[in-house]
Amino acid sequence: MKKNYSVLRTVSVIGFVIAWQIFATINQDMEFIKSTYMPSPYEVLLTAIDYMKRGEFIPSVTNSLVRVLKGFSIGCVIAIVLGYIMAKHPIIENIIDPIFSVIGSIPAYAFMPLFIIWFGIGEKAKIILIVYSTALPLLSYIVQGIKSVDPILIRSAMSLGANEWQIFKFVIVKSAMPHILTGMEVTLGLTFSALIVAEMMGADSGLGYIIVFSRNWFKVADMFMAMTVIGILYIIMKSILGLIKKRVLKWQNTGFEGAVE
Amino acid sequence: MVRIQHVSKSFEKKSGERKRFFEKQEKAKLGVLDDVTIRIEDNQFVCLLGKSGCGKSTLLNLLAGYIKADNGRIWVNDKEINGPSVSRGVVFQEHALFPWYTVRENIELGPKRIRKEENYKEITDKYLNMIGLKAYENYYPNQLSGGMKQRVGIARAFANSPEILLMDEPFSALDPDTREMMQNELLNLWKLEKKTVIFITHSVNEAIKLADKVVVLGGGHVLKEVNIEMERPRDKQSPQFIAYAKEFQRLIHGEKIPEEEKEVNDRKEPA
Ligand SMILES: Nc1ncnc2c1ncn2[C@@H]1O[C@H](COP(=O)(O)OP(=O)(O)OP(=O)(O)O)[C@@H](O)[C@H]1O
Ligand SMILES: [Mg+2]
Repeated sequence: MKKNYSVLRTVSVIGFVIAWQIFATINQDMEFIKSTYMPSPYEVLLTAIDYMKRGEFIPSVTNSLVRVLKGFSIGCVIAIVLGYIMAKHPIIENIIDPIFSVIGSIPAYAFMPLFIIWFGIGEKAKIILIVYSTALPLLSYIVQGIKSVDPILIRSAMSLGANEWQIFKFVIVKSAMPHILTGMEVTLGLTFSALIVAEMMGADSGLGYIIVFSRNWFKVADMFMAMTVIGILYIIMKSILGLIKKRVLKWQNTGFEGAVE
Repeated sequence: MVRIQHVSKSFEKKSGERKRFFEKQEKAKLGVLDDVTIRIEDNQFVCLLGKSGCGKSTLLNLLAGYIKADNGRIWVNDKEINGPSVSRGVVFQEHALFPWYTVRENIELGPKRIRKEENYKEITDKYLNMIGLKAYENYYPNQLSGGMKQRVGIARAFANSPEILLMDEPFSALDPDTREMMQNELLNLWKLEKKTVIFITHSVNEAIKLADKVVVLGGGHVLKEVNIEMERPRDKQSPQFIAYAKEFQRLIHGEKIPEEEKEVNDRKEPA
């Protein structure tokens, strides 16, 4: 039997928040850090409520969320298509791969100022940065996943009359799914970093924007609030990915259960 | 009609030892099939018989269109084989089921999703019942035993109703009873639906039980083609059956057979 640690995990998070509250409270008197710079979770919550009252909370979260979802999904599709082409044609792979390893060694965020100059400060530059930060690291997972497809399954589909598109749908994507989903989970963190960088550099809305804007006015509680919400969004998306993974890879986990009566 | 004409096939054998980089890597060739010629009539049931490693699966892969012959040609109804085709269904030695599809989805894939037939449900049910796995339709392959997987592989090929069935030791993982049952099912189906069946086995008895013609392979050659002149169902205990079995045993196990005896074996036995 697999042990279920979800209770322990929940307790751990709650414990962390309590510890933070205690530290912030003690800090009020002791001033390890200037007390206005170290808000307690309660103050962060009040800040969030304040934002909600002013009608700024939902739009900020929605803006960021839309950017992440757009960038992440476009990035995934590009990586899957490009990965398929690369896995199928070694010549293309060997042309593209070295270029990507050179460009890929530059942190994606270094591109943001350039993208702003190229594409303006509108949504385009931000989405492109997020797409780029998602697609590039995901690509190697996809190529690896597609290359590990058992050739006998492709043969099998061919003899059932499948055309290339059907082989792609029914065999290659399915077979590469464990790699693709693992890649997505890993990449999601980079997607979020790209979101925040993009919003910090060239946005007038969103959670990243709240962080830079608040810094200019030393509104540390606002910064904490934005950071917390980012963390929560990330955890929600990661859990959704985890659920999808569990669903999609049902065939993988079933193991011996039920095989032997 | 399937005509295999003077087909040869060899594989590159990479020498295990690594050469220094300026020396050309020696690429030894491993000859698997050498000048194989076989003619198979429409609706004929042919068994390819031979020892492990004699090139049976290689010949089947050539017939399926997965690999290309070095020399020689293969014709199906006056069309040269050029890649895999729906008209040539394959049952693989290693099952080759899609692990992400359930038993039903595996069988359904051809009729439902690829060929988009309207009555795919009836087709699937029919073959699910034939292989006796209706109760397991929602199981994934990794929840099945080896023999069950083999049966699903057979159903999947049948559900696509190919003209030619290429079967690579499809019953090797079955217990004797199930095997007997599947053999009879296969014969029934073959009589009913009129297909050409090319069936690989290393069981002499299985070959004699099933085939119109047995092709014995060995050392990359066709050692012998023998028409089995017996009415079905064939009795394993009958002297004719035993005579065929003895002959095949000898051929396969490589003892040199004296010329006179060969002639005796060639002669048709009285029915
Ligand atoms: N792709 C390949 N590359 C190199 N050698 C191969 C390849 N496929 C088969 N061979 C070799 O060809 C020979 C014949 O293999 P094949 O699979 O056709 O045998 P078989 O008659 O089907 O045997 P079995 O009854 O054990 O299945 C073997 O020696 C094998 O090592
Ligand atoms: Mg074989």
